[in-house]
Amino acid sequence: MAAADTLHRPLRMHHLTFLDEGEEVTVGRPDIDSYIHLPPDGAALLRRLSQGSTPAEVAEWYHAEYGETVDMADFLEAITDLGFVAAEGEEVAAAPRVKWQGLARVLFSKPAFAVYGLLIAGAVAATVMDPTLAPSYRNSFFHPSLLVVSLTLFIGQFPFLILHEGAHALSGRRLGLNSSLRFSRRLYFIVLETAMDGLVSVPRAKRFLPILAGAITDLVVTAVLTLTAAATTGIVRGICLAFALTTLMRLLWQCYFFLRTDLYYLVVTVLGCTNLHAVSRNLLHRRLAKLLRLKTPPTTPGAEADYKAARWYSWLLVVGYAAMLVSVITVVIPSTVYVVVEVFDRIDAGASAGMIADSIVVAVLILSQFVIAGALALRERLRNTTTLENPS
Amino acid sequence: MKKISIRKTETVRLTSAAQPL
Repeated sequence: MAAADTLHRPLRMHHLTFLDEGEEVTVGRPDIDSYIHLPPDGAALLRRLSQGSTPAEVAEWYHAEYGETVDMADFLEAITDLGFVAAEGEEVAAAPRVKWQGLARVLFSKPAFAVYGLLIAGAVAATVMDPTLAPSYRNSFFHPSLLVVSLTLFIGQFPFLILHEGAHALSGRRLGLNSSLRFSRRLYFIVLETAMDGLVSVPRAKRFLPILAGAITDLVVTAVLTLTAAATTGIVRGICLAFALTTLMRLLWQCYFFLRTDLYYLVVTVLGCTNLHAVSRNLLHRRLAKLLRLKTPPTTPGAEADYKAARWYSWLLVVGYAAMLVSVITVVIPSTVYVVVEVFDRIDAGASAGMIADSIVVAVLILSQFVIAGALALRERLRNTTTLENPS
Repeated sequence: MKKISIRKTETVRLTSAAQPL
């Protein structure tokens, strides 16, 4: 229970943002990216507390407004756990400062988009006039040495990955949202990811550009590489076409939207969902429990749109993961085994040092993906275990 | 006594896949 004196003095609240979305209000503390959905009456309570009213005054107001007595002690405990209330001696957080906003406004301005449109149109026109510029798997092999191809494509992809993620981050900063960049995984894919939880705190119509900024960047990069290839010859042209192909491949990877790619966030934003993935997984668990006559788990909270979309998204999850499992069993594992066997065969057959090095590099690149994905999965598991043991 | 329901928002993680060959 809240101490009596706590109820009769104003709380020291950190800077909070409020976004009214009709049936729910999204409230959060932007400097630590802690956001929640509240019913409108809960948001009104929090707003009054953050404006300096004492909890006792707010509870009285609530009773007069809604004719019910609110469990203020429970509410205060929850908002304290969320980090909304400044602890004794803790400095009150102001609205966070966001850098690079000027650059972001320029890069996502109408004139900039006109330039991007011209570049893409130019690349399409150049490809129509010279079909050898079109994406083809042959474009990967711009050099006779597989060693050169492997290392160039592997190392050279990182600037393009950073450009994609940088576009997400900058378009967020244009709206005053901070973000952070890190390595993560989706199933066995290694990904660079931009965490931007604050996106839920801006109106829905403004969320589309930060979500689409990565894909737009991939298209512009592909266009620039294609136009450069059109204007050059030899190895430069070859490398440009190879990177244009791999950039398009990364764009296609976004179609695995059950892995919560950018396309997933686009779909949930269009549909107005707030927790689709978790609600869908929960729906599958409950269906399975019912089928096996086990105890049905409690329903995961979500918005009306989540429950509606979960009816089809839950099946997409099943189909998506099943397809991935089939591809792992029929393609990924056999290919990995094949490459490892190939390395040993070449060593056994007394192949040249170049041939053996060639195979070893390819094998290391392929195996490294699974080793890194496994290490990231282990890190997630350890982090989750630690969080459960120390829920503070 | 009325309890206020509080629900954490979904995390937003915008990604790009790194790929070996």
